[in-house]
Amino acid sequence: MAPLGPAERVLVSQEFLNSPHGQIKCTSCHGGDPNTPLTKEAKAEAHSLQKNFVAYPSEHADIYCSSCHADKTSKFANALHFTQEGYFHRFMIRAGGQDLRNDPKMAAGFKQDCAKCHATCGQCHVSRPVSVNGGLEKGHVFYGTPNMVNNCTACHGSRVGEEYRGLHAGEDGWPEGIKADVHYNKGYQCTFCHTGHEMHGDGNLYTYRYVDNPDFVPQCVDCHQDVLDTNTENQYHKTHVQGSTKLECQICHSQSYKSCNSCHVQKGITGHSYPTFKIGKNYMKSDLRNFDYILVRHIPIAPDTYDNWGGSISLTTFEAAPTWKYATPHNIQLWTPQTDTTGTAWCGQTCHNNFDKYLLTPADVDSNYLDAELKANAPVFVK
Amino acid sequence: MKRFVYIMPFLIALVLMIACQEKKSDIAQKTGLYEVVNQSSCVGCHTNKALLEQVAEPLENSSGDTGEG
Repeated sequence: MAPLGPAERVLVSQEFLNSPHGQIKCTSCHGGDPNTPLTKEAKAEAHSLQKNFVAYPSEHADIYCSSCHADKTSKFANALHFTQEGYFHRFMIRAGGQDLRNDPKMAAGFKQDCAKCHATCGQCHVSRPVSVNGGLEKGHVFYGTPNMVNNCTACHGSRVGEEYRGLHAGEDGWPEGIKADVHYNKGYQCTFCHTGHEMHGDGNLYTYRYVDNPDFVPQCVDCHQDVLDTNTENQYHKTHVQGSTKLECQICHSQSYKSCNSCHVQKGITGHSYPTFKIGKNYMKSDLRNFDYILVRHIPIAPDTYDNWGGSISLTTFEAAPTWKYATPHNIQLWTPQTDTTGTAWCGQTCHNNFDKYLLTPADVDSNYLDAELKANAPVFVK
Repeated sequence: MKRFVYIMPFLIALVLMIACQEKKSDIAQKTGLYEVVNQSSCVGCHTNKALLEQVAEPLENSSGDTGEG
C-alpha cells in the first residue's frame, strides 16, 4: 500500500464537496473551531478536544450516521469489527472466564496493542484504518465498497492479504511456485465473498467470527455447487466431500500459508513467521463445518503473552483452546502439491504418502512452552 | 489649540497601535495563502494542498502500512 503523506491524509477533494455528504457543514460531524488564524498553535486548538473536535465521527455512528443510515448503524454497533468481542471472548476462554475489560491495566494494554484493529464505518467507507494511521482515501468521498488493499488488507494484511496476492513468491523459506489465489487472479476483491451483510452483521452480538450461520460465512459451495453432485467422476470429491471422511476444501486446494510466532505485545513467543501446511482434526465441528479434518495455523499466543500489561488477570486456563487454530488460507489453486498427481501411481499418493509432512502431531510443536502447547492442541493432533 | 495639545498624545498612541499590529492580511502576504483560508475556514485549508503541506505534521508512527491479520 502506498503510504499517504501528512497533507494527503487530510486533503478534501472537490468531488466530495459536490457529493451529498459534502453538503453537510464540516463542524456538524467533526466539531472543532473553523474561525482560527493560520498558526500551528491555532491549528492545534481548532482541532482540540476543548473545541469538541472529532477526528473519526463514525466512532459514534449512533450520533453522526444513524439519522440517515440507521438500518446499518443499529446492526453494526454489535458487529465484530466494531465490538472486537472476538478478542475479548478468546481471551476469556484462556483466562478462566475473566474479562480483561474489568482490569484497568489490562484494558489499557489492550487499547494500546490491540484496539487499533477496531473498525468504524469511516475506516471502511471514508478513510484508511487507524491501524495504518488513517488518512482520507478518496479526498473524503464516501464509497460503498471498501478498497481491498487500502481498507481490508490494511488490517488483514500479513496473512490473508499477502497470501491472496501471492506475495510470498520468491521469499526466503517459502516453497517454490507459490501463486496468488485463483480468485484474485480473476479480479475478485474481498467483497465478492465477504458481503456488506456479513460485515455489518444482523444486530446480534456475536463473540466469534466462526459463527454457524450461513448468512455470514462464505462457503466454497456457494459458487462451486458441482462438488456436491454425486454424479461426478471426481474421485477426490466423492471420497472427501461426499464420502465419510470429509476434508475442508482448503486441504486440497491451498498452498503453504503463514504461521506466526511473534505477537505485537512484545512478550511471549518470539521469532519470525514461517510457512506451514498442517492438517489437524476439526476441533470445532458443526453443521456448517462438518469436516473431519481442517488446515490449522499456529497463532502467537503463550501463557505469558499479556504479562507486560501489568494487570491482575493471567491466562490460567491457557490450554482451554488450541494454539494451532482453524485456518482458511486465502491462496486457493485448483492444482496444488496435493492435487497434482502427475507421474504418481494412484490418485491419493501425494497426500497419503506424505502424512508425516502434512499431519499435525505433537512432534510439530517446537516451543518454549512445550507442555502448555501440547495440552492446548491435544484435540487437534491427528496422531 | 489648547484642546488639540490635549488630544495629540491619544491620537499618536492610537496611530502607533494600529500601525504596529500584525494583521491577518500581513500573514497572508507572507504565506500567500491566508486569503483562501479566510474565505471558507475548514474547507479553505483542507482543499489547499500547498497550505496543508506547510502545516500538516508527519505522524510519529507512520511506518506501518499493513495489518497483522
